[in-house]
Amino acid sequence: MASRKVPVVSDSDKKILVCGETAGRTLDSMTIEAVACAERAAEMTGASVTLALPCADVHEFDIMSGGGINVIALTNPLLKLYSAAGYIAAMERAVRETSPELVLIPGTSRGNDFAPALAVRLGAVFVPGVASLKEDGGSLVFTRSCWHGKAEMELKQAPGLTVATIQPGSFAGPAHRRVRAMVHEIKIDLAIGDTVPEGEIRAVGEADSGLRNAEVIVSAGRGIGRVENLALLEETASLFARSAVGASRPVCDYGWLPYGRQIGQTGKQVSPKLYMACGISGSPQHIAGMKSSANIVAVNIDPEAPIFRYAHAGVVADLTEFLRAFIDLVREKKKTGR
Amino acid sequence: MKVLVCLCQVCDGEAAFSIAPDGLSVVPSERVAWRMNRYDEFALEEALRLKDSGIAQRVDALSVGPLRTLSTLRKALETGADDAALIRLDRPAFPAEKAGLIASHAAGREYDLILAGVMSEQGLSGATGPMIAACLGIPFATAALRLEAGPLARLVRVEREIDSATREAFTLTLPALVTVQSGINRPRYPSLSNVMRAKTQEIGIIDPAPPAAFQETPASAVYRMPDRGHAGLIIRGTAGEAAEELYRWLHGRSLL
Ligand SMILES: Cc1cc2nc3c(=O)[nH]c(=O)nc-3n(C[C@H](O)[C@H](O)[C@H](O)COP(=O)(O)OP(=O)(O)OC[C@H]3O[C@@H](n4cnc5c(N)ncnc54)[C@H](O)[C@@H]3O)c2cc1C
Ligand SMILES: Nc1ncnc2c1ncn2[C@@H]1O[C@H](COP(=O)(O)O)[C@@H](O)[C@H]1O
Repeated sequence: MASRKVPVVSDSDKKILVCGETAGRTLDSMTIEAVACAERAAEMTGASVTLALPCADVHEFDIMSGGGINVIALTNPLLKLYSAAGYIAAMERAVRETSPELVLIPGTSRGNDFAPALAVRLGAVFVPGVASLKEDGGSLVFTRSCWHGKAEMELKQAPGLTVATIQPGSFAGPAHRRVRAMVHEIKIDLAIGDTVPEGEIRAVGEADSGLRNAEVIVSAGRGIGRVENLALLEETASLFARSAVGASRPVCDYGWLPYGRQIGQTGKQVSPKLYMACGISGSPQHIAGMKSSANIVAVNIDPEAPIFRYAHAGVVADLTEFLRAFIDLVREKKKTGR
Repeated sequence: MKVLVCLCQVCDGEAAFSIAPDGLSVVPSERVAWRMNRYDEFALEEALRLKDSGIAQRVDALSVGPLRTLSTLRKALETGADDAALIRLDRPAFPAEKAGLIASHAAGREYDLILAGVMSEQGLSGATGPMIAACLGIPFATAALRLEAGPLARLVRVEREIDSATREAFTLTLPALVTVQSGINRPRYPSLSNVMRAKTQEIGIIDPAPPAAFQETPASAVYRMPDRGHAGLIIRGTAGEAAEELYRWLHGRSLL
């Protein structure tokens, strides 16, 4: 197998490797975000960016990029289906080819699956869930959320190799122009090992939750306390036209609402005119699904809840008391026509 | 089958805390109540179900942490774990270090299946599980929403979550590690007989030998409070006053 180094667009010897996931002929939206993140890091450090695509075969990809980007495809027929072992082998090879200082991996379900193990295999520092980047004395500083989303941790890039995942929704900057990149193919060896993938399973007949078309979403979090309190959220939603009730994950885990109503990283991504989060703390995984809403209102009893950092209007109150008062007030105003 | 469940102790998200003046640690207020990480409750329940169905013969619980972590391990015994051990570590550690400690403890103890939560609610890393597997060189799958094992075959089948509408399935050869996503089951409450048994059961405390496998920690980690974000309107007051103020705000934006 050829082990010549990949030609680089920039003459810098600093390199950032991004791992991509492909969705057919286009790149997965999180990969586009990861490339945007890498390009921001490259601007700060003068590094060049290489996109590594573990895949079954090479074809042309449309890549959104701000500038020149190297693309290597790590190919093997077994990579038709995702497996951690396959992606780790492909990325280890890509690291050997490019000798990067930083490997950026989209914080998708699969990225979160293999990235920590890849870091161990490479003896790299691992930084999970990077939400923003800055530069300090020529080094990158990663910011990530911690302590229930209430505090942030800043990690300065250490010498050697760092593997980082990117918190979804954090680098979704303006769309870049489309470039058609040259893809350099590297065929890799893989054997079916002790992990055998069967492929994807789609949930059948997931009820249309009405979230997609809703202009107003009133969302329930664990803070509603009891399933009976959902009625208050439904009543609140009914005050608005074209509204729906959404939820954070625990509300669906408890079986209070179906998973079709879940909003967030692993649920629906919504951007209604008004998003009203009731009893939702604002974890990075929930924020990923609603942060682009035009107007965000949060109702939470904890003034320090992270959701208030994203809210355009925040009500610090017990949600049951507040929503009862709010429902009565709006009904009264509607009745009196003002 | 012998199962190890990795449990971490967390405090509630509402608990008060501060950041140490040097920025090097987060200090929870003294009155904080510590409890089991919720994802680990799901992992423990999954292990106990394997035992209920006769597939697992033994379920051990393991934590890395200071002595206060014993209360969470005690809870695991009350819930039905057979045995529990604490690897004592009095300072916070990054996932890589915890994984190294857990892996060197598990190595040689012949666990067929190691279960962990998908993420710590407090640290939000989601890294310790797959790192343990990488240290041990065993197959793994994260974010499981279904776990199937038979009494004989040295295999487990896992459905892992991609998103709320999509999963992907894998068959892993044992020994293997699986991290469990919330919603996979409904965790049980402790039974009276287990509570009685757990009262007198000893929990082994292990002073960590230097981790053999892997110990790569970030050079510098500094904690800080996040920026305020949107300087949004903050509404306080009685429920009636707050309702009135939010109404005006929404009305001003033609949302109501
Ligand atoms: C891989 C992965 C994917 C995930 N995907 C998602 C996802 O898609 N969507 C999602 O939502 N989560 C997701 N999660 C879970 C996420 O990490 C959080 O655990 C979850 O969002 C927390 O939900 P919550 O805010 O409702 O609950 P909590 O964090 O428990 O917050 C409850 C809030 O209610 C407030 N409260 C309590 N009582 C009252 C009251 N009486 N009145 C007003 N407020 C009150 C509290 O102050 C608190 O802020 C995911 C996790 C993982 C690991
Ligand atoms: N201190 C610990 N002791 C034992 N297991 C842990 C510890 N920290 C994390 N884990 C396990 O690893 C999972 C993920 O944690 P984290 O990587 O910190 O998000 C948790 O759900 C636990 O199962």
